[in-house]
Amino acid sequence: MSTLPSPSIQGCGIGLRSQHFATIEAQKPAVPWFEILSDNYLIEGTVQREFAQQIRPDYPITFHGVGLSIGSVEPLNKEYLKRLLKLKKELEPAWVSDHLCWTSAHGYNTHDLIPLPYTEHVADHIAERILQVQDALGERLVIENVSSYLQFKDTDMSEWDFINLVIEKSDCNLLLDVNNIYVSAINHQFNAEDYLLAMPADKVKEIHLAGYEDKDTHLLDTHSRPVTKPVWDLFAKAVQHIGDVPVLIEWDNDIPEFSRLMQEADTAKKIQQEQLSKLVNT
Amino acid sequence: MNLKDLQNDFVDAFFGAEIDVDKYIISDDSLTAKQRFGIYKGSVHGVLTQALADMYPVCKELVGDKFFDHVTSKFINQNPPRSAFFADFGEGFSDFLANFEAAKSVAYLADTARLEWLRHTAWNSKNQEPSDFTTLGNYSEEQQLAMSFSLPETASLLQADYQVEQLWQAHQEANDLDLEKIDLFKHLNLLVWRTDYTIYMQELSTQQIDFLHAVQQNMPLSALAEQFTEHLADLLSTALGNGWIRSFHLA
Ligand SMILES: [Fe+2]
Repeated sequence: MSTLPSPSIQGCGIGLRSQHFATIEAQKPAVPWFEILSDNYLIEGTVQREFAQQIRPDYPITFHGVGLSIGSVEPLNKEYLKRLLKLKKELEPAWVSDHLCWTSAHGYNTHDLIPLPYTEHVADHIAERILQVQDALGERLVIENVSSYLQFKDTDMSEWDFINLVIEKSDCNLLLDVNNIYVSAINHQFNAEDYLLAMPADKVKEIHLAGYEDKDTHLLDTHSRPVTKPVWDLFAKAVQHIGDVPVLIEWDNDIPEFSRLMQEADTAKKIQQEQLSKLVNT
Repeated sequence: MNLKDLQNDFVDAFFGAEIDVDKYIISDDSLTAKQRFGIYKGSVHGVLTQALADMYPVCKELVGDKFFDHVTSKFINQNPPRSAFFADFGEGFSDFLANFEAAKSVAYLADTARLEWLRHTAWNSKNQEPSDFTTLGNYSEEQQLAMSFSLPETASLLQADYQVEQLWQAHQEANDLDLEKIDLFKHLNLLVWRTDYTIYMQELSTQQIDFLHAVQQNMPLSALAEQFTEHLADLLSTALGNGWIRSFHLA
């Protein structure tokens, strides 16, 4: 039987990055949970894997990956899945998430999140792959909406209809990245609130927040900046729509001191509590 | 539309092929299909270029940012990542540099890249538990002679034409080793390995590197004794004392 604390995930967590290992080890910060980028932990005995094992008794953990390439046409990568399952057994994450996109094709791996055309046919394909992964995991996969910078000619439905369709067909859960909704809303000129309000609230396990860069012609989801005002506003609306779900701060480039991430998490917690108390009072 | 064609075309075009992106992507007032595709291509290359810069920081300093970007972009197009495991990407960069015409004037560049790759692999391989060498005495002489040894899984041996370990040290901020004083043009035997969170680099004598190569080939103690004769005791105790040998295995 497991001796690890049961993974109860609540409040505002922080994405674990190796730049902060020493600070976390020295200060044991009061963070409700850490999310690890599971792709970086798939080799046994590496520095990062040993670090995750070391802090796991003190912190619940969630997994966030890129490598499942759930939207690919190529068969699922069995070796990747095998290593992911081994890591899951070892660290007992509260859940496993990956993105609603594809990363590999033609025997190559882009290590990047490439979007999909939104059609019923593609939704069927993805749902079938999610079901395979869920069989292997023995639990629901959590799927995250991505930012995008292009729209396919073949797309014949909105992104929010597509997400609902995939969830309906596969019964997976949703990791709602509020920043990604905002970035795509600006890039493709739709109303972010239409998207948000169409999300199935009972399927949302987690919310992501991050910062983008304004490139004039488009917003680029760089995870290199503080969360912006319009994204905080959209986040407040997300809490109203979804209720009390765990929130996570992601910061991957130009990574600041750990205390800066704690500040960002405090802001998220404050907004979340304000909105939740409004919900109780109405 | 066929999703497979789309994905294959996209990946091919990320790594250098020309495709007609108008077939797939909508153009609008703010950006054309080509520009939108370019954002993704830039992002894919950006991630990989950054990974190479993180893996090969001294090479980057040696050739400068501009040349490094030029050579990495060529490398990425000719060696797109095939593995889902990101740590696998970047292998072969030293061979690529060795054959890259415009880099040939910096003769020690490829050896520097080899060293940096070995440091990268040391980070990304298993830091295994050592064997308990105090129990060696419990085995019979016959068992001991049949025994073989292993280096740490994080360890690699490097034989280079240039003193790239000192060059690497001179490029560390915390180090005030004077670049001018390094005699670069001297053969180097080096062991690179990691214990817990620290990477070690140790220059070896020719006999020491020959010995560790023999150990790597799983030679039993009897064969090691034959090859290294009266030097064996010394070689073995130095290797054990410094953690160059991590475990022993009964035949
Ligand atoms: Fe996210």
